[in-house]
Amino acid sequence: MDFKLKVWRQKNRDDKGHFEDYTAKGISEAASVLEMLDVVNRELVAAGKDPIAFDHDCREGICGSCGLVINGGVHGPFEHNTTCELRMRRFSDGDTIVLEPFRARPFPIIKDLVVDRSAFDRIMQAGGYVTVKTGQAPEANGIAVPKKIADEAMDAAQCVGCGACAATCPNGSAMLFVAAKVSQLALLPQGKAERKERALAMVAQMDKEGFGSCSNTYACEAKCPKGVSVTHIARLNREYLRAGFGSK
Amino acid sequence: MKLDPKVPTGPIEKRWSQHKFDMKLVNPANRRKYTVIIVGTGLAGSSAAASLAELGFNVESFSFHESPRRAHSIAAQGGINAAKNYVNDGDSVWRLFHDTVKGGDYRARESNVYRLAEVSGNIIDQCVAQGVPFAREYGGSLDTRSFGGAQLSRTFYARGQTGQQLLLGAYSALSRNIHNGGVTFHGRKEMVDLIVVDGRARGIVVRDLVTGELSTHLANAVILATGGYSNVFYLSTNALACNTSAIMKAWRKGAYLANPCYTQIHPTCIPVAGDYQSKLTLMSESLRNDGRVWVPKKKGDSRNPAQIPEEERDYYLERLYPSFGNLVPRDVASRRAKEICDKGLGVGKTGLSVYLDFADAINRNGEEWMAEKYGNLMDMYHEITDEDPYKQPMRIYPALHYTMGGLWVDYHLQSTIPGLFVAGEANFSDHGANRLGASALMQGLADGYFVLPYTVSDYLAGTKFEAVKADAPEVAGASKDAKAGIDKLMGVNGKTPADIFHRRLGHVMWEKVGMAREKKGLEEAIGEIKNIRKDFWKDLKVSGSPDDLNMEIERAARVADFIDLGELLATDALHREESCGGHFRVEHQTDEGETKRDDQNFAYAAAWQYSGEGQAPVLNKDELTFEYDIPSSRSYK
Amino acid sequence: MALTGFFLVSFLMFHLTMNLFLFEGSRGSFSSFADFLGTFPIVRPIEWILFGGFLLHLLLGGFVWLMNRGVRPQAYKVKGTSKTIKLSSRLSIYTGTLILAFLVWHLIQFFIASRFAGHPVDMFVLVAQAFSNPVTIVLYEILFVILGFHLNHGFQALFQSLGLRTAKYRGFIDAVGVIVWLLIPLGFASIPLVMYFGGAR
Repeated sequence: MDFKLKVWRQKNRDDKGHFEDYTAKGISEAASVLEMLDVVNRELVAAGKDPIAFDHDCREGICGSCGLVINGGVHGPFEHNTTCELRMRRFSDGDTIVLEPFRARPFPIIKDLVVDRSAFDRIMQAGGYVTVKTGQAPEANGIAVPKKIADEAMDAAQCVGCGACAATCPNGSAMLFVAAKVSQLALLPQGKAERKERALAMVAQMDKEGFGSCSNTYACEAKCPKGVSVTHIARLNREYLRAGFGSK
Repeated sequence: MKLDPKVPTGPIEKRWSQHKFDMKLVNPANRRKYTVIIVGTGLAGSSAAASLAELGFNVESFSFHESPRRAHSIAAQGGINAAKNYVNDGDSVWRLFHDTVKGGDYRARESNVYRLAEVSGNIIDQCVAQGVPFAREYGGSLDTRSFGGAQLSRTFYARGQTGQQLLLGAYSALSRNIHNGGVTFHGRKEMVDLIVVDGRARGIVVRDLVTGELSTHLANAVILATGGYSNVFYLSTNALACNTSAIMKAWRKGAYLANPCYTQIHPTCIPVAGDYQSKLTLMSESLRNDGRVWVPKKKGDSRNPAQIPEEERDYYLERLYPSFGNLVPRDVASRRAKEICDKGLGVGKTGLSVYLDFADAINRNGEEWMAEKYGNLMDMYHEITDEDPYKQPMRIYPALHYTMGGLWVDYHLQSTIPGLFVAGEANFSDHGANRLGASALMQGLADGYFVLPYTVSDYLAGTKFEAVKADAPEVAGASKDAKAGIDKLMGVNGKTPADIFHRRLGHVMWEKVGMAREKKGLEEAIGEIKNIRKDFWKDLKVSGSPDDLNMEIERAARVADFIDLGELLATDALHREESCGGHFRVEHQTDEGETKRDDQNFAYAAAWQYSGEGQAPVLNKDELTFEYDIPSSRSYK
Repeated sequence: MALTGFFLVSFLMFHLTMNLFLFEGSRGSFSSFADFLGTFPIVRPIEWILFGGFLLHLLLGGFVWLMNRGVRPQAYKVKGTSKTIKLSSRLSIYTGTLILAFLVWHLIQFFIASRFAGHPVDMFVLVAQAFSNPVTIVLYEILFVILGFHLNHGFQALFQSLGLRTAKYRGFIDAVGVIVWLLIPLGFASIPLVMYFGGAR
């Protein structure tokens, strides 16, 4: 398959950036978008040109490193996949494909398609954990966790932290990311002790990073590679209200 | 040189607890005076960083990723073993110990393995307390499943994303300690050299992957938790950035590298489909719980698998290994798949795959049940191959997955360079010649949570440290060497991208140092690798600038180290004139095609010592003694 | 947003209930009800609370909208990300603005015309007069479509914001939502039509 590419090139954080045209020829239909970029890059390197920088690693949809906006769709125009999982067979031969970085104020562009998502780490550091030191843990089966609760917590915990939610949200909000962690730990008995501090601290950090606020458009849920549900945002809202108004 | 593994004596079940008591402690008030550098943030790195910071040490954590959570532990699917015996099927620390030693084909150190089994239960406790959402039964207790090489159900799991959940648990502990100031995290920084002063590891040189800037970081001890080297085969299930550079830098500075030839080929991966492929994708071993492996009995039977009647199918694992069936250890399952395909019985367009069929399980329990247990794997397979595994059997083939070899460490997980500790897949310690499924997560977390906090403390307490100045010759020298290394890569200015050399190397490794190794092939491989190295340094092309985010420099530097490691791996495979676990020498097999060990001559870990550029490495032997689990021929019939 | 939204939805229900008395025709309960509301003293402060609710709702809405501008300093070249969003959610700020504009006109037409006329006004007559003009009817009908749209986003969103739309209640709330965003505007919309075509005299 052959494709015409329009790729965002930006030398560094301060550069203005622009689109550049490339062609990708003889791409296997089973290749992923990233494997197509590998081919383009090999040619660029051989020609002595600066290859297109993009984040990637596991290439099986779990590490959360990759993330491109493809033809206006975060992780591509389809639902529930990461960029690395998107195969070229979903496109037609000769298509023009536009590749842009994730765009949101708290995700500054480092180079080309690589963005700085360390804001997510700082949100996690603010409270995305259960305070338990190594060696303090009680017997694992000591507290029963009903299967339904464990399953719902797992649904939330699947978040890969790729940032698609914030990149696709018209408000650039990271609510789904924050909600996934708050909801997981609010559901499990192990996380309940700190639930109030956690909700308040993580939301405060999210605001501090400059993410927008949620206006319930649910754009995030539609594009989340793991399909994390916005019902977890509802639980985050509840946790936040409870922390603000509830008794100590 | 005779290596001292510093294994404590006494009854094996008391060794670790007695040793914990014997080791020295650092007074809490003094702990913050010590700095520990930890390279890598996978299960071993994150858990070690969090645990040491909790004790009060000053921890500097490094990753070439932006976030600690991107480490490749995240991709582990199936589960984590622990001797909890929740299901009352006869499990115990002794049983897990025995299974692991046997599974490793009697090439692991008994005391280490026993310790691993001993702390396995605590790991589960720890993870549950962190909020890891393990699978549960309706009554609320933890669920388990079976994995290869064990006849009981001791594997804890979180759907098909156990590695992700465990890593996020460790990452959350790490994040908490970053927040508290105990850990300083350095993202997008790659270690490019180890600083050794007066024979002790005292720091590292790192390259900032965004600006290209080199900087030195000093400490009292350095822990490498940098993962394995499967990517020496180019195509593997490892993430693309997984590399062996940190290991090779340490090796060149004097740490020994043990058993590089012990590589694990995982039997259930999605087969190679074409040249374009950048990596292979694993389908968790847990699928073998409910899938049956088969091929048509007739050569070239191209019928739709559903149309092939039961009596014309060869369920070869069930036929050859009636008691373990589809759950034989990985090395055995992989070798048998290769053998079947070599005979021309393989399926698919390339003939290089076998069926993994879920029809029975789906008929028995329904598609929904299947989806709940393995949904993400089924979807992943469907997306990659465009074939629906609910409707037709999966096609699978072995692929490189894990490396048991790594930097040699003693019982303290300390390498031959004092102050340099190695954890997780990067060390060689616990799995012998073959790792059992669901044991990698166990080992990574055991090292980080429960071993290193004690042994690193002991080292720090027992060592008198001289202050190292930033302009000391060893420090400045390492920094200069690192700069020279990058200039050298940039300076070749040939025509071929690093990726092409990597692929060439991978091809040689897979064909000649892969699942079946032979003297002649190994000798050829060593020659070919030398040629690749020659061509690499003559014709490499790195474009772009070194003072910038440049993926090509990163890649080229890693490929250079893979070439050196590849040669060492082949050398080790050539020297080991026996078959054991993942190392299968065609010359040494039983009449039934199983591995044939030579306990007389090879019951040792081969620890290779660097002896200069272009010099043959020196072999050191770490003799293995078996007091509790007497080596026998490993049978899964 | 959620609390004021909830308040306003409740008001809409009350308003609709009252309006449905229009079907009784002239001299029905509607006029007496309107008289009562126009003269009973306790209604005054309640009116202010209602105004306050509206004001707060639109201020908050405007504030959220303003705050979220600029969170994406550079727009995507291909506008594809909004495709996955429900139209009503994407447009809620605009439907809200239109409703505000309408409200001004609506208040002039009925509230000011009755309260500040200086003499008692029969509300039924006022309404009947207004809805004898087809242009007014068309404008009102358009408004009710917009209102339905606004509620389609707003009703479920208020439960989402209050943290009630969790996995367990999501289906239930969305089902009740249909009643609200579809039936309330339909109820309102039926009135001018029925009056014009002579259903209620």
